[in-house]
Amino acid sequence: MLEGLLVSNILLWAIAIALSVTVLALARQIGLLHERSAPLGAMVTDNGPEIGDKAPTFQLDDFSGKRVEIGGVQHRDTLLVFLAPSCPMCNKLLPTMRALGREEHLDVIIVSDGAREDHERFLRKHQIDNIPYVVSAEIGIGYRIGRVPYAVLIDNQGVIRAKGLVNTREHLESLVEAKAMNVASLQAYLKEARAQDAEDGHRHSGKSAHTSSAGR
Amino acid sequence: MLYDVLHDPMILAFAQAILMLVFLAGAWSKLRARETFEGVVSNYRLLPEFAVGPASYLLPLSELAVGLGVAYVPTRPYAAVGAVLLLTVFNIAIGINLARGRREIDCGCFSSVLKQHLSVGLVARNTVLMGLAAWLAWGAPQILPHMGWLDWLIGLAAALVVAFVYMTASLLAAQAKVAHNSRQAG
Repeated sequence: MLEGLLVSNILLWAIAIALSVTVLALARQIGLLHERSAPLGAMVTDNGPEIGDKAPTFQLDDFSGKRVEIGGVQHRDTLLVFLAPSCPMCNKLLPTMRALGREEHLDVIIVSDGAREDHERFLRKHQIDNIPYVVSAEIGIGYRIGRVPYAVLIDNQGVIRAKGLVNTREHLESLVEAKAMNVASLQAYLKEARAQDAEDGHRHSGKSAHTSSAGR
Repeated sequence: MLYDVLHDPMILAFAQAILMLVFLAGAWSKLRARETFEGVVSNYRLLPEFAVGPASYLLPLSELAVGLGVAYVPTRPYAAVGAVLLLTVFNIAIGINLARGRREIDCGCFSSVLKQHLSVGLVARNTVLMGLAAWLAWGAPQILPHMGWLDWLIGLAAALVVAFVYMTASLLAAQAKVAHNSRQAG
């Protein structure tokens, strides 16, 4: 009898562990659904000026007092990156931003918000070379930025070509790719491709293969 | 009665397994995302810049030592004292930033996926863990000779369940926060 109780107890513990692992896995799945409905490319939050719209123009001084013009006709494409000094994820992206600006011939502009001493500390600590660092709440409000790091790609005609949350190097690069492929975002591209596939699958059966090769 | 329950070897094994899991999980998630953790450390704004890098190695490695040491009987009292010290450091760091009103920074406790911000609840959680560790260091040695394999097994099983449920709850809380934020933005 006693031995039976012992065995049953051990069994129950094993089941309790299995159940708690299952619930944890379930919660993770919900998280995946929430955040990474499509794992490639920067997430596009559907707010603010839309892709294809003229970018709102701003003229203001950056942190070192140099004049910066955002939007309107420029001689190069502009990558606007919204950061906060207190965001560890953002710091990790700084080298990528510099490299991307160099490789893709983009004017990178960092837009940040917050207290002056935070920015001074941030700039002392991180090398941003000659990237303009603009402190402005208005730009963030203009683009309806809710979370950082967020990036907006504006072409040289002042039109928004891609935008999204950029948590990794891949996200940042995906914005440039989205522009090169002339789609709003990789997600939009996938959606379009799937819709086309569903519509006339037999004619475009090569489409999905094309999607993956167009990636990189 | 309560005294007997608290001094049951199974409870001791449970406390020990909880501490082991907490510290190993903390060390693992910090070392895996060490660059991010460096940002987290500097975000606390307590250390001079030159100390931030070393601290971002030292903290998770100390956690690793505590997590491993607590599972091994001869080193257990020392590891438990180490756990109390580490948790004291964490609580002071969190307390200072709460006093500064900087609640929104990432606590860095486990993975930053959990988006745990600073709160009094975190200090309370750490204090409970400190109680467990202190008891393990000073109250437990008399009980040790009475521990059998079943105590270890059940203690570990119970600790695993608590750890999984805690992770689930934090994960769901983080997701609720994300959903809330995006609703506000929209």
